[in-house]
Amino acid sequence: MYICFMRHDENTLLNQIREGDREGFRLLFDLYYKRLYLYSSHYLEDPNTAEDLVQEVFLYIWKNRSRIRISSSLSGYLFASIHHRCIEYLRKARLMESYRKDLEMKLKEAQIMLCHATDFSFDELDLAEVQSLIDRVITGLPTRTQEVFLLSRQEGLSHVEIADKLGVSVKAVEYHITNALKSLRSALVPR
Amino acid sequence: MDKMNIESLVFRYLSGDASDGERDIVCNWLNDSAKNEKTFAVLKKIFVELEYRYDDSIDSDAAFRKFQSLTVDKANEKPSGKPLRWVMVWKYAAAVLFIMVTALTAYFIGRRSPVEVEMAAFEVSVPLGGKSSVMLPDGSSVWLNAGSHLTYSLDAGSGSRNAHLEGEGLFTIEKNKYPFIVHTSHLEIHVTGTRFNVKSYPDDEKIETTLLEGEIRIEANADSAPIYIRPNQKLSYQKNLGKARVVSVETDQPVRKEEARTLRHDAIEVYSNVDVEEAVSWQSGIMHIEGESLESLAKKLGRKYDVSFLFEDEELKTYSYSGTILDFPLGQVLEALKLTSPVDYQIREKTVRLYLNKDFKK
Repeated sequence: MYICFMRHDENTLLNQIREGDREGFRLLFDLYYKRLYLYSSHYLEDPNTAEDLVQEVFLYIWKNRSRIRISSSLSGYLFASIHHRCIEYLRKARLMESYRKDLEMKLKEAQIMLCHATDFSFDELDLAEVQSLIDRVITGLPTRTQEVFLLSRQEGLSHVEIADKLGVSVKAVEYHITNALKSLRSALVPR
Repeated sequence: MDKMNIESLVFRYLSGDASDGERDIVCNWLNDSAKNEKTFAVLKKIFVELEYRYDDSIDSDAAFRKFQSLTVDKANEKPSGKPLRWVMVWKYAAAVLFIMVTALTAYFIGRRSPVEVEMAAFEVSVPLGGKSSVMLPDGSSVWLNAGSHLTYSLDAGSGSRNAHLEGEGLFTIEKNKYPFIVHTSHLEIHVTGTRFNVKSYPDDEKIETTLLEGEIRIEANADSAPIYIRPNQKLSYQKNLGKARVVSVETDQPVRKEEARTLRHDAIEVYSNVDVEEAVSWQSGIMHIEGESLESLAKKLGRKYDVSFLFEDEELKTYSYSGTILDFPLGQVLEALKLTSPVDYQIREKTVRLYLNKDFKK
């Protein structure tokens, strides 16, 4: 169980950090560390490197706090920073290693996310609201779909494992996952 | 490929479950159109939010400690600006507070007091739902938490500085030749120059003191040896245990993993390597809790928001919570409890009724 609130005024927080407020910085760290790490660990195989890149983002902000210029939003800035760093890292890795399809795909993924950083912006869609929306959508799903979806997300089971466990076909599992995703998508993406 | 299947495939890919062939399908689909890229971006963001919700393996606190160790060498390095300025600001702030306290003192002592007495004693109360910082006449400062009462006086004979505390205070004591003593209902805390937190509310079962800097000496009874506490240690005193009884102490909170616990005295426990930030986080309005029972959490929230809690169901008291509660309106805090656990609430004037939410689904 984890209670953590996301609602905060980004400008106030940014101003606090500019003035060297450690408590404010801690808040920023608590709010975004896990998210940034989840993104970077998607792109990089080594969890230590993924962690280092996130630490570097926060270090850069802390060291340059008094002169940092943020044109969009703090969350957008963090999101873009981690993606820039991952892209830079993947480009270097590409130079060192022979051609690898999965590496190309990761690079492409990071570039796409960077391009679309703003159209599902965290500061517009309040993060706490996103989380509670996810809860509401999931609890509103048909029982079976909910079961399949939670086994996939909460327990981290693969589609085959879920199919085995519930005694249904893999196709059925995919159907439920797709349904759950569709509900989440329509709830989360403003039309 | 139809839309239903590709969404499921993207999700599989993001979970790391996709085969190389499936990954290539996703890759080709991405190359098809910019619209597909956008769909992918949306799906990925949903995916990460779900991971955020369900993946408990990432320890943000440990990461922050690492971050602190990375910045510690640069502690003296000022980013830009002029370091002197801050000193000035603090001087002004201190001056303003001093004036306020002096004014307060004058108010409490009344017309008959000569100047020396004004400087020698005062008292201050912080109402429930409040928080306040005071500068003591000797230059020491105290942050007082909601529902606290502090009196301060100088002992005319020995010159010792005496503070009587009911409630919670974060003390930063200015070193001088006279000892500073914090008196609580059951313990006396002796200090010289030092920084520490004391929590001693009449309705709490325990008195706790956590040391950030310096050294403190704690005296419980006249007939027992004093206990010295070093930085990052916490002493906990269980009030309901008589001094003559030797029992193993059970606390209502599980001990944090990294804390070493030693039994020092009937009712006293000393914890090492405690998270001092946690102990003083109330000062900024942020509550860090770890394995805290709802009963104990309700007490804290009650003081902070000046409300009283009514448990409709005894079982609720034992529910345990961990996390960070930011400085938000009470309604939002209760809403979070409701969202994460089978607890529902009703607020009527200054009373919060907590009851079991049977419809809660995790």
